[in-house]
Amino acid sequence: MTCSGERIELYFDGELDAAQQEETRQHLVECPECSALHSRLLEQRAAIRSGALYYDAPTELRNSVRAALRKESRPGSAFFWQPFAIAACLLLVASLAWNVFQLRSHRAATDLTQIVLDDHLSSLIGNHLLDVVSSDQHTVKPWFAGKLDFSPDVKDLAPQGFPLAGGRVDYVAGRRVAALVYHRRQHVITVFIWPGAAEAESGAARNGYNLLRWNAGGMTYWAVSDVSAADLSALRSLLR
Amino acid sequence: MHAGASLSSDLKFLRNRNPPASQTRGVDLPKADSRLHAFEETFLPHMNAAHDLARWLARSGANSQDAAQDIVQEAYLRAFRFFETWNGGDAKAWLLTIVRNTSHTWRERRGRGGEPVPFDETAHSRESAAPSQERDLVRADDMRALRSCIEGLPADFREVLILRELEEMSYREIAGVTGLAIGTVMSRLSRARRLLADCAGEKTGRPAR
Repeated sequence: MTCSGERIELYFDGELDAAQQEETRQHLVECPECSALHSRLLEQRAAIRSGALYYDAPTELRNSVRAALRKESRPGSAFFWQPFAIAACLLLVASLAWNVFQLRSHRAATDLTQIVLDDHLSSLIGNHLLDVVSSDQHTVKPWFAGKLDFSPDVKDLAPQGFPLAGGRVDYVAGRRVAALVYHRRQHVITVFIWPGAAEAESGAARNGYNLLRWNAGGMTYWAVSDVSAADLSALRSLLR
Repeated sequence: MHAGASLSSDLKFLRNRNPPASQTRGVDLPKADSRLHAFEETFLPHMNAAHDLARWLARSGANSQDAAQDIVQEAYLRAFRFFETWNGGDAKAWLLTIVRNTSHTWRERRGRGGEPVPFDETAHSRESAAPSQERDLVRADDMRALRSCIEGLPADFREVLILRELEEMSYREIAGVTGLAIGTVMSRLSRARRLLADCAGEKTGRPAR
């Protein structure tokens, strides 16, 4: 083995593997130079570790650290309140998200109201009021079969003052819906029906038109007309 | 003195690891209390090491004694705040890493006030942790010389020397505390020893190495 101060130091610090450690130990016996270096290292270590150079923690420090830790973990400390602060932040975020969601779904509902109204108005302007003209519910209901993936409930309500005029298929919010047309005196009422009952019932009035939405039999109903809101409510009761 | 203190604190540490269950995990202890209890049990036994390192890193400045205590206290509070991030590994190494970082922040905050200060004989004779076991004046002088030589080492060398010789850590552990590569720890330690030997040889008039 060749003499290496680095190796002696690694040996001295116990950083060699067992075999090298043993090999170096043997070398020290034979090599006076390396042995002298090793002795000086030992001497230096003994001096440093003699104890006089070690700064033990004074008692006052122990006491003050313990007191500081107690204070830190007590209610009122920043640490103690941290979980509550985090909880409050999460709550705030959740609340904001919920409000944004509500706002968006409100806007979606509002948009749907507008779509339904527009559809009703465009049917009145153009000639596409009815695809099937019949006051017979047994004619209208089968007519929808094959044109829709659901079967709307069709009732003629002539005895109650809402004669059925017919029906058509429309596109509302990306899907085919059934539109039933009723008359009320000289007014036209369009009742849109599509599957899915999601939101609560609601009513709206726009540009002099009344809209009423309700759920029945797993279907969403929208009634749109320039008749009074009371008339729409009456129709709703009859259709339910 | 050091070895004895370290051993007894280690034994205390071992004893405290297994206290009666009712004392540590009792349902009557509020959560904050049991957290504090667990922390103290793990880290208070290493306060001597924390103080020793902080003191040596603070060196011999006029207020180094107070600074070291402040650093230790701040390091303990930091450790307590981040107790949950401790992975259950070597508690002493984790604590010393925080002490070291705290010392660095401290020094930066003080505008590097703890840097090279000429050796002041009177300051050292007032030293509270002065040698208590020396038998004769020659040995006391040697110790003072050694102390001032270590204090005179550049901080990078001093810290590895203290961690190796006084805290008796392995190269790997020192690398963990300082964030240095093991090879760097090795070369700095070697250089520190040589500088120290040269300095001590000059001061005592004897060749040290």
